[in-house]
Formats: sequence, C-alpha cells, structure tokens
Amino acid sequence: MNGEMAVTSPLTDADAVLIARARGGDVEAFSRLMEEQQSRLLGQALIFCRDAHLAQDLVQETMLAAWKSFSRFDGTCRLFTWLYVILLRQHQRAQGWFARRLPPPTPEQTAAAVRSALSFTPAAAGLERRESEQLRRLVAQLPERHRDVIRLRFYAEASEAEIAATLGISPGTVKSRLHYALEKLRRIKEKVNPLREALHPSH
Amino acid sequence: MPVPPPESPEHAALIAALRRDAARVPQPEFDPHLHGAVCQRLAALTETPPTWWSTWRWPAPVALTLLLASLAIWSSRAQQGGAAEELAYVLAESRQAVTKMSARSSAALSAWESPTASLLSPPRQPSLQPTPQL
Repeated sequence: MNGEMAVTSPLTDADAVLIARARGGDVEAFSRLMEEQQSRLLGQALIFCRDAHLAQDLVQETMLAAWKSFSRFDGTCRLFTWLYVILLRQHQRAQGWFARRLPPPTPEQTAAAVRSALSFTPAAAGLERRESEQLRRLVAQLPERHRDVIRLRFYAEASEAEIAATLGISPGTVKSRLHYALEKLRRIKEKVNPLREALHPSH
Repeated sequence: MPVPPPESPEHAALIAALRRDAARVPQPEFDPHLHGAVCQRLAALTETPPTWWSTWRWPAPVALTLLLASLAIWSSRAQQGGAAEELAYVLAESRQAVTKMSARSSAALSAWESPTASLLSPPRQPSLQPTPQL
C-alpha cells in the first residue's frame, strides 16, 4: 500500500518547500497545495455527502480549517492523510449540526433507506455500485473510532504509523482498532447479506 | 491478550472489498470555481483584521481636538461669566449706595437732626403766662 512507503518519505521536495512556505503564512503556497489535493478530497467528500454542492462546501470548510491549523502540520504523514482527518471531522461536525436541528428518521424512512441501499440494479456496473453502496453504509454504522481507522486505512490509504500520528494514538491502538473494526464490519455484513438474499432471492 | 493482526485471513474478503470500493471512489476534475472560492475566503481570512487603532485612526484625533476646543471655549466662557457676575454685583451695590445717598440728600432733615435748626426759626416772644410750678 502506498501509505507504507509514505512513512519514510511522506513528502516530495517540492511539496516540502510549499509546505514550509505555507506554514510561514504564504497563502499562495497553501493554495497551490490545495489545488493539488482538491480532486481527491472532493471525491472523498462526495462519498460522505452524496451531493455535489454539499461536497464542495465540505471541501471548502476543510481547506479553511487546514489553513487555520496549518502550523500544526509537522510532515510526519502525507498532506492528504492530514487533510482527510480534517475532512472527517468537518463532516462529523456538519452531521451533528443537522442531527441537532432535524427530527430523527421515522421507522418507515429507515426501512425505505435500507430498501434503497439493497435495491437491485441490473447492469454489471450496478453490481459494483451496489457493493460500494452497501459497504459504505455498513462502514457508516460503525462507532466513530472504528469508522475513522477503516476510512483512513482503506480510503485515504494511510499507513498504521500515519493513522497513529494523525489521530494521536499509539500504533498498537491503531492495530487493535483496525482489527475490531474489521471484525464488527464482517459481523454486520453477515447479518445484512441474508436479509438481502431474502429481499432479492434471484440475486 | 495479544491482538491478532488486523489483516488476518478471515478479514481478507472484506479487505479486498474495501480496497475495490476505495478504487471506485470518483476523482472529479479540478474545479476552478471551488478553488477560486477557497482562495477568496483565504484572502479574506489573511487580511489584517481591523484593530481599534486602525478603526479610530482618524476619528479619534478629530474627536479629541473637538473635545479640547469645546473645553477651552467652555472654560473661557465660564471665566467671562464669573467676571460679569462680579461686575454686576459691584454695580448693584454701587447703585444701591447712590440711591441711598440721593434719597438722603433730597429728603428734609428732621429738626432734631440739625444743630442749627433752632436758629433758622423766627424768634418768639416769651410767653407771659407763668409756667406751672411743679
């Protein structure tokens, strides 16, 4: 995985120069760094938000938050991993904001969401899409500490050392969380799959 | 209890599915509008925030000058007012004194007040009637 190599040399020379300038308050250097990271961040934000405008807002807020705390970026992990953690936190904050202001979903709404997630899509690409939809929904059901390590490890392609550095926990804790997160995910998946089979017996 | 390695064989299928899904994450093209919006907000953030000094840079000296000027005017007026009051008091006192003097000069003196009043009155013959002896 790319993340394993990134521990020894997480930054290129050009990036290191830009990062040093940005840490000194150079907005232009910082905006160039964000230019490089924008597409990847936006892709991840689209997974969280499922809406292009919300995803753009999330990326904007992430970049501004990154600017405000950029002096704390010490280069022990890749810039994308560091930004990804900020993206996660901003998304959690936004979700908390909505959760405080919107009524909780009714049982009918929850059932409709499950049916929608497990709905059959006939095309071959649809199978992949269905797998992705299901997997992302299952990951979203995990407790925050498990969800974060799964997302960082597999979606941000961060190494265990990088995860430890960005979350401020020991590498041993990262390993343990990752193990329990995968175990929980496997159990949830096993529970959901029979339900899917029952709903769509032909597939 | 030692924790088994996270990527154990029992999780292999799940890990493979997660990696497949991660590879399917879309990477949209660079959005110049989004980048522009971020740059605008960054520029707004990095602008020097207005300090109290920059806000009051010009109004403060003007206000101070006006205050000092009004203090000076008030002070001079107060001094003038005090002198005028004193003058008015002196004038009033003087007027009272003059009035008193003029009133005395115009009024006829009482007979008992003048030592020569008896000389001015015409002589009279002494009365022949004996004065009763007490």
